Amino acid sequence: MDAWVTQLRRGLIELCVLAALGEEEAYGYQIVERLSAIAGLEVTESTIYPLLARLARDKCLLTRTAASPQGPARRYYRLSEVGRRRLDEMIAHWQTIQKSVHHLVQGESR
Amino acid sequence: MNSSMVELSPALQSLVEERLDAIERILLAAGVSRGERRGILSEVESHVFELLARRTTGEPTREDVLAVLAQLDPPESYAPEGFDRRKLNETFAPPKPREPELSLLAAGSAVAGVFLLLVLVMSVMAGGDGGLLVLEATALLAISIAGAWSLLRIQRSNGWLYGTRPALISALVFPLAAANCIAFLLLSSLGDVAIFLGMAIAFLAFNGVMIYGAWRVCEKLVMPRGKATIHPGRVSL
Repeated sequence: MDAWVTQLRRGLIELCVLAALGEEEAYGYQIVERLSAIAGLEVTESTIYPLLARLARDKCLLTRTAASPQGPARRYYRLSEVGRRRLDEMIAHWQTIQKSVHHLVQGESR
Repeated sequence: MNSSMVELSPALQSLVEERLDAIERILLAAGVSRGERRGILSEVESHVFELLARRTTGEPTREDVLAVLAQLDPPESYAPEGFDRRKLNETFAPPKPREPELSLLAAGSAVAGVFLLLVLVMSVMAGGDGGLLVLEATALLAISIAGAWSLLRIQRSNGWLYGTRPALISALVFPLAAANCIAFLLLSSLGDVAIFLGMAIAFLAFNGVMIYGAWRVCEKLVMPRGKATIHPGRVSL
């Protein structure tokens, strides 16, 4: 069961990161805080930061750095056009799967 | 939330950099590109500072930094899926801060040496052989040298050795024992008991002041508190 939950989370994490940046830009720590607060997702920085780096490499995210009042400069991420399209496709897939699985599970439970 | 700039002393900075290096070694071994490594490491470094800023209102202490580092995911967790984690554990286990053995040994010897000194002084006062006192003084001098050497090693370790307190006790044992013996000899020649007791209490207070003063000096010299700040560019990539 644990392995299934892990796989499910792993599959959703990229969608969640892109969705977290769907409305506004955010810096790394903010994204970790935002996602770690989502019940059931249970993500930490060692999952998020490599993913942010990969998404930036794949041109899904655009970055800018800005001075931080606390220490090193912060890197802010926002969705690029590529990232926006990817997010839309993922959301479409997710909604289809979610709807189908929901129907299936509801049918099973009756 | 504290919004003031977090600044770390060079010793504390090295603790953070050691963690970043450990993560980088894993990313390198996993074949992560330079650009991605750079991005990940600068995020982890910023993460450390964000946590420090939320934890402390003043300059962070060693305990603050260690607590924040303990809060982070271990370096091995940055390995991609399918990477041989057992190999990582063997190859990339980060060193842990530790107490120098010499410092502990010297502190233990110092405590034993002071007791022995008391016994010998009482023995000599009762008419015993004074030659053993010379041997004891030599032993205490050796303990003090070991303590001073330990303090030097702690200072040069950039935060990877601790145990300043036992090292300081050891370093002070000879000068304080010598000063106390001289004071005792001078006081014992006084006829008036009240003056003797007053002077004895004053000298005990002097011991306390000396130890406190030495501790403050150690805080400045052995644990330097510079104003260096970590910048992403400082991370070797």
